[in-house]
Amino acid sequence: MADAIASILISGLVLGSLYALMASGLSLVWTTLGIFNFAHGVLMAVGAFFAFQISQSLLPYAWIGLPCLLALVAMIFVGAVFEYVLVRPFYGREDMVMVTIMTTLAGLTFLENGILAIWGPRLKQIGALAPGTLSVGPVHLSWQESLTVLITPFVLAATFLFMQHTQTGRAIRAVGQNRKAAELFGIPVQRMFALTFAISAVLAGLAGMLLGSIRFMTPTMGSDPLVKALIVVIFGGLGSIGGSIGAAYVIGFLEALLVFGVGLYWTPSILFLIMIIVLLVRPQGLFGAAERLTV
Amino acid sequence: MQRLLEVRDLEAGYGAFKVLRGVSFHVERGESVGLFGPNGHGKTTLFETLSGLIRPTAGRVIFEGADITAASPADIVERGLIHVAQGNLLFGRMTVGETLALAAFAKRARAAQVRNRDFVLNLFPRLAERSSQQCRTLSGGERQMLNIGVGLMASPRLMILDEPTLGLSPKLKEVLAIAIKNVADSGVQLLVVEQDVDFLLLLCSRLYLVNHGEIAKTVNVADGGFGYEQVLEDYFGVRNS
Amino acid sequence: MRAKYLSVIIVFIALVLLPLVVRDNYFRHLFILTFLFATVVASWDLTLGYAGIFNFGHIAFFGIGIYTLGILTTKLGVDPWLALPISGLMTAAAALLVAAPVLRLRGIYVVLVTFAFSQLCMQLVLSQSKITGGAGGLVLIPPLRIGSFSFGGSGGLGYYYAGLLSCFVTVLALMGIVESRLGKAARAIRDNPEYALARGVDQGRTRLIMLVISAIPCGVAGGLYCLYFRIAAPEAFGFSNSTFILSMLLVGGLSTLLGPVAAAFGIVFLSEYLERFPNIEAAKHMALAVIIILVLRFFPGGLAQAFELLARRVAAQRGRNPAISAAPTTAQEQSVP
Repeated sequence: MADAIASILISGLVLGSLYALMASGLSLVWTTLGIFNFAHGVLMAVGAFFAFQISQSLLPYAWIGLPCLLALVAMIFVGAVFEYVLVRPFYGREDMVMVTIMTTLAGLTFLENGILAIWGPRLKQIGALAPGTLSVGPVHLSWQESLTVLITPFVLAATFLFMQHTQTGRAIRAVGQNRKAAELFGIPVQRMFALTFAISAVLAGLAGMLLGSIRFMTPTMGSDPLVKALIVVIFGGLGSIGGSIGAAYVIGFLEALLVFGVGLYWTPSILFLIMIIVLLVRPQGLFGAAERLTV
Repeated sequence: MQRLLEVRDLEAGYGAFKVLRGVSFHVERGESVGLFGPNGHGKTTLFETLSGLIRPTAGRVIFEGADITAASPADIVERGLIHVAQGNLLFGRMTVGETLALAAFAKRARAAQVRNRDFVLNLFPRLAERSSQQCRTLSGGERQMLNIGVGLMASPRLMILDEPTLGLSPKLKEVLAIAIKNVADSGVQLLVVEQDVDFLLLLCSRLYLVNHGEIAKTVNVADGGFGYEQVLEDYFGVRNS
Repeated sequence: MRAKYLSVIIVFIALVLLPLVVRDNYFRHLFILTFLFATVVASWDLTLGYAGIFNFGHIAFFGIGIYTLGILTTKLGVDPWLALPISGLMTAAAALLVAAPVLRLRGIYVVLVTFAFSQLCMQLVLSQSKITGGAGGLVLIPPLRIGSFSFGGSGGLGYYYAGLLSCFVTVLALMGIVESRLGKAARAIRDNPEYALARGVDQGRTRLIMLVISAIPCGVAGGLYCLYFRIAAPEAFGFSNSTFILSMLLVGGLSTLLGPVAAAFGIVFLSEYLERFPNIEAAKHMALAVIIILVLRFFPGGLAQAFELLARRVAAQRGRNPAISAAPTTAQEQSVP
């Protein structure tokens, strides 16, 4: 019995951490730029495949952490280019939210197929940061899983501190709350957009690398996490980064519980059903976001 | 001596609708200038054009000898032309302290950040009290104080004030008027729009009447003889006997 | 307006006569695909375009139509002729189900929920393999017959006409609905919800009706698709399929009905052409993605807008009315209702 509980807890923590990394990036872009990035999932895949490739071709004997770091740096540029091509040309348009949904969907298709074309459909895996497993009493988990659980709160905290206590972080928040005022403060708004996207891409890439080492990598590896991230932000509210993170862990645990209880096949359907029921009963999501209700 | 600000034949509008129809005026070194006139006649549009939010369709804006007509808002702030906008343009979910800190974003403002902050908090003690409160919880008067404080944090050479006392109670108007006078006395040059023409007369050396998107009348305060009746006549065409 | 109806009828007649001239089976196949997708995209334009409902799960209606027919015919032995209308009804029922959470939300949350709905459908299909065939799908769907004539015969001639008919009827019906009181109410809600409310328009009910109406032709098209291909696969609910059809909607022009239908022709034929280069399977999707972005950037109103601009320019040059300039001058002219 203790075994079962322990494994659910671990599973929940691991999933929750990954979802938290993803949802915070999504939420960040939403609160700052006001757009929903449908390609966020594929950015996970991009990060994973970059790390994989850098490890394979450039640093085959190095500790996997190094290619991962390099890939994260690459993700900064990916995020900036992404914003420049798919979001910036459409800023200020009346139907901006809709249009950027479509452009990011197009970006998703492009990148997913690009990955497929370059790396092929076969399963791959990134090496773990630290090999082997860890056993503490009834708890058994791989080192990689435990690192995932440990790294995530640090990364999220670092992001939080950055946003709250640095000029650039404040500037990003300001841009999301009142673009015109931000301009009058001398903040280069477009540069902030690019930076926000870059940060979001790095978070997604990190999630992808971690997932790619715990599970496997495919070109479409990001689509299921994207759907989960979707559920997370519906629960927690897109407009609140903190709410999204909280909801991420809740969903993570819920999923772990369901997998244990009803099996892998039924879990996604039930998660969705729960989401729909929650929405019917409490349309503002678990953490309350009145802006999403109709007139 | 080079003029601080020179505006020549400025034209601007929204789409096909022209608001500014050839505005020309200037601000010399060491003086403050006032604008007045009926609402909806282009004063805010003029300011938004000066601060780079709107691109003019014709004309030039020259600040300290440099042509800033097509410059970006960030660039203009770096040069020291600061626009304190009408309507409480602030960030609802940031605190007063954070907002003032952010206001020193521009490079020109970083060196003097501590000094500016002390000046602002001395000028508006209320802001110090409310330092950790979110902006959306501030009253109208406090927001205006914060607005002006934000402008000062950017170490302005020229500060544009768009109706700083709009919508405030008479007492608060007075408090703000005194504060603005103090700012001017401390050496910051001002370009002010106000309904209260008497206040402008005390503060500025020259006033411009903006009517139908143009400068309709220039008043040199030193010439004297300009007062309330004149304003009535200019606005309403009414002559009080 | 009348010109639109006329052109639709003319094109219909041309397409009716086409098989007499073009006997190539491959082309027939492309046309069938186009008719079915055009039906889906036209009905999607009703909700996403005219009603302004951020419905990103429309593909689910198509998939539900496919699977309803598939399950009814293979598992329950229902006659395909009966199964077709039931597909439409099931889809309508699904629309009613989706409407419940959707109508209470707005903006981005509608997008997320409708999208999640389509994913939910896919998950259900994948997990209930006993009923749905799981990842492998359903096969050996019986063909449509009238007496001894099988619709699949002569290169799918029967399906050609069935598809054409469904597309034609759908387009005409939708054109009528858009101009009706209901359609106007929906547009009013899209453009100015507070005003519509003040004028007594029931937002919830109108949007509900629009959703349900949009689902029915979609479901029937799904049923026909299943009958034609004789399989039902979960990819029908997938991202790729959804984006494929969405691209037709965007390239054609939201809220124009005829634009997306025309774009359906273009994109189906283009994508099939690209299939000839077997190594560029992925490139086909990438090319489509780039096209979407370019169209959104330079022709936000899609083909329909480009067409309108062209027509204006031609009219101006012919000097029929010197007062018309070549380009629209006001915001109103730019949004084609």
